[in-house]
Amino acid sequence: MRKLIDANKIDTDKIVEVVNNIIGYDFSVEPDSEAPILRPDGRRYQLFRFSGSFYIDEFDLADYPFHALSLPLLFETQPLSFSLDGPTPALLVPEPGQKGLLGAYATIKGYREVGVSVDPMIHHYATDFGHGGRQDYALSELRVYYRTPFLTAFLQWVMPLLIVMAVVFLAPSLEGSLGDLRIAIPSTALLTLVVMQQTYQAELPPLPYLTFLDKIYLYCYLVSIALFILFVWGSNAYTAADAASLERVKRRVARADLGFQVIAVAGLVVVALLAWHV
Amino acid sequence: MAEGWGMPAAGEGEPRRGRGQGRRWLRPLLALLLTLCLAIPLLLLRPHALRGPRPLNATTLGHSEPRPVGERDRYSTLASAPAAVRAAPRITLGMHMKNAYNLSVPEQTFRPTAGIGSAGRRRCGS
Repeated sequence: MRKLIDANKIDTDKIVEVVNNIIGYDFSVEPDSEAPILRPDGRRYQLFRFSGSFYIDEFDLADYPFHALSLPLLFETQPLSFSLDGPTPALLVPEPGQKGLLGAYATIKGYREVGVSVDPMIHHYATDFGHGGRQDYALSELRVYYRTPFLTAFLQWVMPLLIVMAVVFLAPSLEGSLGDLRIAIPSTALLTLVVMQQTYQAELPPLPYLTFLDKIYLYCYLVSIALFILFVWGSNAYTAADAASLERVKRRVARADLGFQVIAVAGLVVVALLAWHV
Repeated sequence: MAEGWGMPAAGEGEPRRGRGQGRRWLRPLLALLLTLCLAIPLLLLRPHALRGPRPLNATTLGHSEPRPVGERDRYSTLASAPAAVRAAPRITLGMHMKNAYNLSVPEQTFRPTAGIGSAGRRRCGS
């Protein structure tokens, strides 16, 4: 390996690059020693410390706020001469049986650490960079896995929504004669839902798909608008009813209210299950 | 007074309570649904969506039409590589992520401080 590096006149800090580093000027790398240290087994060793901003490649927020996250560090051989299809290929592999991959402070606020993995990989570039031939390079991946704590995420993001929806679900229990009071509830709930959804969406990147929480919110919007329509109908039915038909209308409105409550609550459970599994 | 929904007509006392009056709210709802049913397909099937990108302005540089991206970078495991590749000289890496902070979910980034120790090996398994 040393002959290969010497023959190609490769600086030791140019052997490996971190491919998911995204801000070049923000990346610092410091060798621990000026030159590689010769070990008794004949191998040369050099330690580098680095810091920078790194891109998270696998970013699936479909289960948000109960999502998992993995933070990768992708190390790849940099010199063109180390291409695996070239005359002097070089591999980059993790030291077997490594322990202590994570330091004491490798924790992310709001996430629970799940595990860590190291894997030797090959990066197949889809371009030849104008050089001709295939461009495959050896890559070593260090990936740390995190997950949001279920209870915390539930209490932080789902519980407030359930409380607002509890008000919506209980609203039909108000006497049908209290039309003015009843009709104000769905519109207030809708406004609250919009503000709450904007709050959590501010924490997310623009996504081309709906998250778990998005689907629940969508259902809550539909329930709120359906409740508004129900109350409009109920209020008008009350207003239009004469003394003789008032009792009959009252029973009809009460029946519709109860039916709505049962269907809306059952629907929330079904939608939550479907949103989680589909 | 102008005659309108729910307003008594001139010369009448209480508004009439008939079967139709209790469902007056249905009309605007149906109108809204009908509007949505017409508007959504029109939005989805807007003419330039069918024809491709909007026509270029004559004063711009004049880009070529976009073509499919096609093949992208791929990753595979070293274990699945041919034996000749696996036998190539190797650099071994000892890795340690000292800390990870500044996770930005909207930007899809994080900042770690880490260290790698690399050592060369002559060949596979040596």
